[in-house]
Amino acid sequence: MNAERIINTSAASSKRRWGPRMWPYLFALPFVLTYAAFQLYPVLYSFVLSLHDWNGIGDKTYVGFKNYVQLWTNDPLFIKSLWNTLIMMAMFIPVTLILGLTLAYWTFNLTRGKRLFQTINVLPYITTPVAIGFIFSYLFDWQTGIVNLLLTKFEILEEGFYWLQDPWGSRAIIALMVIWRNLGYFMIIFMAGMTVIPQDVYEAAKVDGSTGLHTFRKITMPLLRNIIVFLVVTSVINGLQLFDEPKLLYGGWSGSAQVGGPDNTALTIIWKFVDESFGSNTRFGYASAIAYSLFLLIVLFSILSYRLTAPKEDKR
Amino acid sequence: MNRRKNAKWVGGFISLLMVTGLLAACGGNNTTGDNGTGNNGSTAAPSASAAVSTDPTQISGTVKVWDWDEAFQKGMIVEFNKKYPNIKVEVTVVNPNDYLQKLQSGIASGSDVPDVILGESAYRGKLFDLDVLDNLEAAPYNFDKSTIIDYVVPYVSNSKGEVIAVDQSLTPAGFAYRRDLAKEYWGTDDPAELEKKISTWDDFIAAGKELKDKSAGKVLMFPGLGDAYLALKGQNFVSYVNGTEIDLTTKLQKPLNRLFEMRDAGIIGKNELWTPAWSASMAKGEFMFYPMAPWGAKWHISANDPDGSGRWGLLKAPEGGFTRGGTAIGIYKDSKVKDAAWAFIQYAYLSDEGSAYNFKTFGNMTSSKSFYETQKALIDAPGAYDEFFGGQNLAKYFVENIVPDMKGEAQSKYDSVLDSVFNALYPLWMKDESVTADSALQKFIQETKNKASDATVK
Repeated sequence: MNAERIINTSAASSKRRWGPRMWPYLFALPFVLTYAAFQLYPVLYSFVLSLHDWNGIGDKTYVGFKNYVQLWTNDPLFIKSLWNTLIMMAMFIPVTLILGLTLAYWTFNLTRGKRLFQTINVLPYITTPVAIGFIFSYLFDWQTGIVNLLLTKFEILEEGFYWLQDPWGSRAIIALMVIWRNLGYFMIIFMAGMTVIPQDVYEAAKVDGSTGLHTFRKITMPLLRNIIVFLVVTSVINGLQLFDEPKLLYGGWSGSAQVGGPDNTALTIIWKFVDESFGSNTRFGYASAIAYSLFLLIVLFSILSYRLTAPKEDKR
Repeated sequence: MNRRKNAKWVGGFISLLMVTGLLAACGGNNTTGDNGTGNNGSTAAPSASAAVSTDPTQISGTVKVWDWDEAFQKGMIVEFNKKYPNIKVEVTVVNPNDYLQKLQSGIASGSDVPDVILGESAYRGKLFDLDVLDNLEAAPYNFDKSTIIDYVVPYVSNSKGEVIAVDQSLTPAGFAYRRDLAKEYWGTDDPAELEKKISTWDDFIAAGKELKDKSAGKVLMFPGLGDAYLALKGQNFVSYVNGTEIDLTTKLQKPLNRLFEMRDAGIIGKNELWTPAWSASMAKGEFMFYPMAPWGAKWHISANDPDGSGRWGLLKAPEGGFTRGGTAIGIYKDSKVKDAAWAFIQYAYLSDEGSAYNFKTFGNMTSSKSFYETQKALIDAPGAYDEFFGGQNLAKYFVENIVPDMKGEAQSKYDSVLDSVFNALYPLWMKDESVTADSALQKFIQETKNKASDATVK
């Protein structure tokens, strides 16, 4: 009798408990499942692939870590693509940060035309990359580009400069594309951060006699620190995945598909990956090894950039 | 207790089922690949190709084709269905730049693969190397390669020597030239006389210097190194790949020497292929020659110089013809409708009636020998772009003057590597005068090594 009652109550309570308990799992299930199918599974599968030799159609041959060894010790193009990516990142990340911050500070303190200025600056960010590729390849075209036309018209140069086929010219233009595209986005994030800073801090500073640049350096900058960390880390991650801009600058708009720019000086890691899997070669296993190496690099660089920029108390 | 346990099990089972379902969908079905090599879905005996020609209404099925030229398929399918009413041809328009990538992912995932596969010249070697096209010389096709023009055979064969495709059109190339400029600076625009004037590359360079002097540097021979290279490399019909050995010196030394000789003579412009400036130059009259295959009259010359009717001509290149472009058509080896697919390919690209329609409507010239014997009148009749080329009969000129000394060249998966290396390097050769033919070749070899790490390159 007693036992029966215990069972009954426990069944009832378990039913009650199970009901509300089940819901979170149920609601999370669609995400978890799609994550497993479209993220986790591909991630694991591409690791398995990176240990194989496979052209996508024939049989897979297990080769162990041979792809990785080949990639890091015997593939000058990969090392070059890595350097190219880092060089271009070093070109555009500091510039975007500094310019974005200055622009945000200036816009933030504008009394008239603030919205208009904001909108104008964000426009490039919402332009499709294909259009950006067109714009820049036409701007810097050797013979018909407006940049060269202006330079020769004002007699700064005698003959047009070969922007797109110069090793440093190509990198600089790609960096310029990234800066042009991301500046508005950086500006908006900085402005959002500035809105959060309480006005009384500024008022207190004013009372204490701080003005202009001093206020900016001693109050605005430190209080924007978290924003800066966020922007640095995300732009390092995005920078390592640089692909759209160089790809669209070279051959996104015409039949000529120059892979990697002049002498591969614009070849980025992702472009190398795409070229290995779908371009010059069809080596899916090797390309997976590139993707995995890039993944590890991104982890490494994210930690590094976080450690370098985060406030001391947050570093662990 | 029990009920609770059951609920848990059911829940767990359902979620497991869903996960496996999703994963299985991603994994694809590679197993279908094994049973397709036989006579899948075909009811006919090995003599299927004979059956194909005897009773067209007996063959049925739905043939899937991926093509970028929708206009061609739209026209051709109507013609085809007049003879084969029970075969349905479905066309998916696929951009040639993504074609191979799409095909690979389709085959790898087992989702969507066409029965009829097109190989554009840019990736033809790679497609052949993937081993996804059926051997057309075996059953059920039993294709006889002696029925197509001899020089075409290597372009449609794989490394084992099996014929695995047919050509959409012959693509012998010569030079399109500006009649007005030739008349102005060389005193004649007659193809026969000009042919004599530039019969060797030495003559060509001499004529180029003459042109440059007389026009005070305003008119040059080619718009850029890329155009000259197409002809020079194309003429050097040597097989340069042996397994994983790439012999670039044999293939490229001679063309590069000539190329740099021309560059140093100052008779070539500084345009890159396919750039806006390059396209615009055709109408401007800054350059005399543009390499051109039969398809070029429509897609290049008249497209970029719409008002230029009458001021163009066609000429054989010095020292012989070369090929430019071209599309191979093959059948997927696991296709379920091989008979129907073959019937379509035969009709559209090989049969006299299909070829006649193809030639009249699109200017494509079949590789089938019999067409040129039975349909001679068609070739002699004026073509769609003859007027544009100053009344010159383009098809006749190609067939009679350029095709006879064409040779074939085996296709290789490294062809696209070579193209991509060239595209990366040649703009620098135009810009940097200090690069010589020798240093260019060494750089070429080095870059090819970087891109084809499995091969030995010399």
